[in-house]
Amino acid sequence: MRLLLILALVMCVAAMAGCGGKKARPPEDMDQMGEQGGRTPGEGDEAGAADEPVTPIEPGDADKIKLNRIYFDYDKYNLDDDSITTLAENAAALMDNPSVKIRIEGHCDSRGTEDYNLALGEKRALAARDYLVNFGIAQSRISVISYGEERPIDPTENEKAWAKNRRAEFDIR
Amino acid sequence: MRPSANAHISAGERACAGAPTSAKRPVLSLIPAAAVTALAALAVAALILTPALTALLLLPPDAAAQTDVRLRVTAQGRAAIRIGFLEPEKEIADDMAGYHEEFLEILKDDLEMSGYFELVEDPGKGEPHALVGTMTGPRGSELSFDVNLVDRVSGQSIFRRKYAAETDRIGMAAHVVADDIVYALTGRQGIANTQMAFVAGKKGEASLYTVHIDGSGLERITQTPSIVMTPSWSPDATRIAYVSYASGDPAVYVTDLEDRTTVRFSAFQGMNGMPAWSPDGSRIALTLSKDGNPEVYVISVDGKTRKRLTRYSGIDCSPTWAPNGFELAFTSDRTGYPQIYAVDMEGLSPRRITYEGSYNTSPAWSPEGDLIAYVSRIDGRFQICTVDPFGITTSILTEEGDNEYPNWSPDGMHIIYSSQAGSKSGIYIMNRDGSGKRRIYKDLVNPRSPAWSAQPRQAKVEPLED
Repeated sequence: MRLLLILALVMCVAAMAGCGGKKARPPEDMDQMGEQGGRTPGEGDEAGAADEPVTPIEPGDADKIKLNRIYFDYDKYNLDDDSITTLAENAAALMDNPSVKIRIEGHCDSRGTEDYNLALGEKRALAARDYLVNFGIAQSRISVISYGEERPIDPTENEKAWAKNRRAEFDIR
Repeated sequence: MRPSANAHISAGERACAGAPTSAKRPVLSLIPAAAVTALAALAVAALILTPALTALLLLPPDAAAQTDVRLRVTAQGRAAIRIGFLEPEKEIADDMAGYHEEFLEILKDDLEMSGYFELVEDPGKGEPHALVGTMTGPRGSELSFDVNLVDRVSGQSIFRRKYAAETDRIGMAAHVVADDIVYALTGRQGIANTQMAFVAGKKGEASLYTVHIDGSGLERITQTPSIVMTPSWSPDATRIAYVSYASGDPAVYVTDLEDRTTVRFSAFQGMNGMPAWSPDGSRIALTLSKDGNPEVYVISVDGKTRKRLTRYSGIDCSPTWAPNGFELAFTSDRTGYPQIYAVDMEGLSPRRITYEGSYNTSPAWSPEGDLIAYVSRIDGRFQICTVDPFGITTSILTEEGDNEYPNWSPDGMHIIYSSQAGSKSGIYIMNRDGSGKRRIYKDLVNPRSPAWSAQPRQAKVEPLED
């Protein structure tokens, strides 16, 4: 029941939001994707195993929906109530826009080691993905990437900034 | 009689017999084939400049009468070998004085950094051994060095080698000489002539670099600023594996330093991280999330075989090889918080190694196998610690700032790491017990993630003879 209410609410919000939603962020990412392998030093044959295919980006509904970030506790990747509420909204928006594909970015605050934060960011993105998949979103529409502690929203070193940086973002592709 | 100066000390029992005065000092153990053990203190005498002497191939080795001896340093309580620098016997020519001084300064620095020696300013006559050196030239732009470690009691040489170097490579020459002395006296590879790989640059716009361990000879390896992380050397020091996001997605690349080609080694869906080259050079352990969450895998360098070693729904990451290649230590949060574990090559029954604290990550197994360095959160800060592979004894080695990326020197005597400590930030080395901390690199933006090469850097300083 609660879910239906959220769904209805989300749909209203999505309809009202119209084009005001967050735009996809193709410029830099597309550039990089287009040069896969070519931007590494020197030349080299790519003996890469199982390369991820580069999926063409279809703008379509991408401009019409807005997906919100979720946040995590320090050194955690479980979803709290706020995150679940937000994820349900995001899921509803994705249900409503079946051609939209997303990439979920997992991020950490700067504390701790860079290598472990990379894994932690991955788990945060995967936790969000698993929720969406359980909700009914096709897994083929979702890719994940961890940026670890490399892309903070707020680079200052205090509790407030750290809380902002421990997040998953939903990047419309 | 002229002794040879080979990898081993050629001194035989004479060296043992020559050390009566140091019997009270537990300095180091001499272990000849006959298992004769003795204690010795060693002194390095002056590098004397003798102008215009040719230094080529003067000394036919007279090894027949020598017994090879390997010196073993006493385990943890390795006491310092006393060495001293005597005044040169001859006047130093003006045009050589600068080179001489520079060479001596770097050599002393290196010997001190090696952790084996105590430098004695004015060694007494009782010191049983001395290093006599001559520096000749320059002929053209080339200097010659004749380094001779002598037992001052018997007058016999226990290490002698000649070198030639360009005058602008005098620092490299000193490094090579220092490493040779370390090897001759301890049987261990020195670290003065080694290099490290590291990452520097703003977050998301970083590059991979290599630099000589003395901070000279910086080379940029990756050209496109990107997220770059966790370099790992091949054991022969010809290639570096690392993570880059240059394509937009994380992938493990391998760059060949000789021909500067780069191969994308691992680009599975999701995370490709934390490569660790196996000690035999044939495999790379890494972290992949292609099966749904971060797990530890081992992939052969030719890419043909791949094995998953961990199975747990949370985080398993950051593998590091035991030197025998039979086990990996890694980080896992299977108890709810990150701790260090070890697992064998079949992936069977991982065993837990760290128990203290609620955040232990980034293990680095020592090349001798006796310790694992790692990062631990202690009072909200991040410190470098060590633990034995059975988890019995832990030691906290750092206390200032936040410290990350522990990585071992090829001789297992030192730990390199990066420290965030305001104006004191940079890449540091310390002895394996945490003593002797010194910053070795602070240039560029936020230098981090150091990886110490297992092999000497190619030096254009050639021993002229053995």
